[in-house]
Amino acid sequence: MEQPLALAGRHTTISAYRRILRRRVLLLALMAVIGVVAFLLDISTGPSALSLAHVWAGLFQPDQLPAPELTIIREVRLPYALMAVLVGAALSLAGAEMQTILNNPLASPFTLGVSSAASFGAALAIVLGLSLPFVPLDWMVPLNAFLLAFGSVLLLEALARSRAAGVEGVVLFGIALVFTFNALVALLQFIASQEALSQLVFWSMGSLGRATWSNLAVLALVVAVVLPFSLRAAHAMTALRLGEDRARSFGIDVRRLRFTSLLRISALAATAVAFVGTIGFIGLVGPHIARMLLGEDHRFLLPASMLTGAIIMSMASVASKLLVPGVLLPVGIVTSMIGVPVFLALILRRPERT
Amino acid sequence: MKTVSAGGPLVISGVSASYGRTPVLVDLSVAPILPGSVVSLIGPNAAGKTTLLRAIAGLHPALGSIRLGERELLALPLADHARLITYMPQSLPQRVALSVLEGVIGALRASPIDGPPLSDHELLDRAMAVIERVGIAGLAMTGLDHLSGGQRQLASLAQALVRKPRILLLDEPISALDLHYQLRVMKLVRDLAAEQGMTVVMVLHDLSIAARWSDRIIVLANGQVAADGPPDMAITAGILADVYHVAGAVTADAHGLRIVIDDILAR
Repeated sequence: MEQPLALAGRHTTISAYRRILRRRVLLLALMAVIGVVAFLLDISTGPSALSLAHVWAGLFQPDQLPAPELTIIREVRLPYALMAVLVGAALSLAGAEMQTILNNPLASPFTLGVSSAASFGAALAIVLGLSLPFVPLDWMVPLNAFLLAFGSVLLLEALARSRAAGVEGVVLFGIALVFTFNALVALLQFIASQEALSQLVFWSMGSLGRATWSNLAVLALVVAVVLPFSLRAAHAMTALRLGEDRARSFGIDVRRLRFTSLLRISALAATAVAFVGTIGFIGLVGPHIARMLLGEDHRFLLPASMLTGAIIMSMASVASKLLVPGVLLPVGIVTSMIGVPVFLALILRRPERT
Repeated sequence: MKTVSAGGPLVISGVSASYGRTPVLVDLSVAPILPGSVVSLIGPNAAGKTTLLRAIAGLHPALGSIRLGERELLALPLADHARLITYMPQSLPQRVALSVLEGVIGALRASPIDGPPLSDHELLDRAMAVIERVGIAGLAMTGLDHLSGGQRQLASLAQALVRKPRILLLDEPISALDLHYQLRVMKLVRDLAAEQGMTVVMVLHDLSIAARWSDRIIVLANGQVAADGPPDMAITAGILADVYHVAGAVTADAHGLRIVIDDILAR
C-alpha cells in the first residue's frame, strides 16, 4: 500500500512540475515581449534614425507625424521589419521540426540544403519565366521553390531512415545538396538575361530588401496554415524524441508524422526563401536556444522556436543596418556570422556517453 | 472511449520474419502464453529474440499468425496495437531534453490508452506512481540526458509500464542495472503480472535470473524454438551445449536452478 510519506513526496513533485509549466508559459510571454521590442527597434533603425516614440506614433497615431516620416515607417520600414519577424519564425519552426523528425541536432533548412534547393526552384521559375494557368505570379516562384524543397527533404528523409547513414552521413549529404544546388543556381545565372540576373544575385545574398505587402501576405498565410498542424503534432513529436520504436509502440504512426512534418518544413522554408533568398542558420540556432530555455516538450518548444527565430532575425536586421554606418548589409551575412560559431560548437560538442 | 476487448492467451504460430534477405525467424510456433504469466526469451546473439518481440509489438513485418485471444495482432492497426501491447526497446536516446516525468507523461499522451480518458491530475498521478514503483522518484525532475545508463533503463521501463498494457514486451530490461535494481525490476514485473493479469515476455541474457523469475522459458536459436517449458525443463546441460556451445552443469535444489558454467566448447 502507498505510504503517506511517499504520497507527500509525489505531491511535491507534481507541484514542482506544475510550477515549471507555469514558468514556461511566462517565459513564452517574455519572449513575445522581447520580440515586439526587437521589432520596434528594427523599424526605428535605418539611414534616417527614428525614435521609438516616432515609430509608435507612425504605427498607432498616424495623424501626429509628418508625412515623409510616416511614409518611411509605413511603406519602407514596416514591411521590412514584418518580413524579418515572419521569416525568422518560419525558418526556426521548420528547423525545430526538422531536428526532431530527422533526430539530428545539426538539421535545419539551410545546413541540409533545403534552402539551396528552394532557391534553385525559385531561380528556375524566374529565369525560365515559368507560369501555370490560374496561379498568380506572386505564387509561382514560391510554388516552384516548394516543389524543389520538398524533393530534397524526401531525399534526406530516405537517407536518414536507411541505417547506413547516421547523423553525420545525413549532414554530409546535406552539404552535397548545398553544393549541387548552388552550382545549378550559378549555371542559371550564367545563362540568365540581364534582368533576371539582377533578380538572381539577390538570392545568393539573402536580403529583406524585397519585402512587399503581397509577399508578406503569402508568407503570413503559409505560417498561419502550417502552425495549427505543427502544434497538433506536438505530443507525437515529443514521444518521437524517446526513440522511433518506442514511439511506434506507443501508437504513433511515425511514417505519417514524418511525411506531414516534411511537407510543413518544405512549405515554410520554401516560402521564406522565395521572398528573401537563403538566410542561413536561423533554423539551426533558433530551436537550440529554445530547447536550452524550455526543454523538448514540443507544446512549448515549437512556439518558443518561432519566437527565438523572430527575435534573432529582428536583431540581425538591426545589426545589418548598424554594423557599417551608411551601408545596409544583406541580413544573411549577419545571421551567418552568428550561426557559424554555433554550428561548430554543436559539431565539436563532447561525444555521447554510453 | 473505445476499449479493445481481447482476453485469452497469446498464440504464435508459423511466424517468419527477415531482415532484408536474411531470414531471422523461420516458421516459428510457440505454445499458447497464458495471461498473467512471465516468460523469458533466452538464446545466443542473433537468435531472433528482439525480432520476435518486435513482431509481436507490430513493429517488424512478419508472416504467419500472432493472436491474442481471438484477435489477429498482425492485422491490427498500430493505434489498436498500442492499446494492448507496449514494447520497451533496449536503449533510450541519450540527448533528450525531457525530464524523467516528462518522458513518462509523453508515453501516456502519445496515443489513447485502454480505459476511460484521464484528467490532467490523474495523468500526473499515474505517471508519478509508476516512477515511484520503479524506484526513481528522486529523479522525476531530472533530465533524461543527465542519467546514468542504469537510471536511463529504469526511466525507460517506467515509460512502458505507465501504459498498463495487457502484454508487456521487455528487451533486455536489466542489462545496465546493478544487482539491487535487477532484483527490484524482476520482483516488480512479477507483482504487476499477478496484480493486473499482465503477460510479460522479456529477453534476458542472465540464465540464473531468467530461471529464478520466470514461469516459463523459451530458448531461441537460429530463429527457431530450441526448448520451451518451466525453467528446469528448458535450461539443461544439453541446451547449454547445443545452443550456447558451453559445457556446464545444471542442478535443481530447494532454491531453484543452480547453473555452473565450466568452459566453452569448440563449435
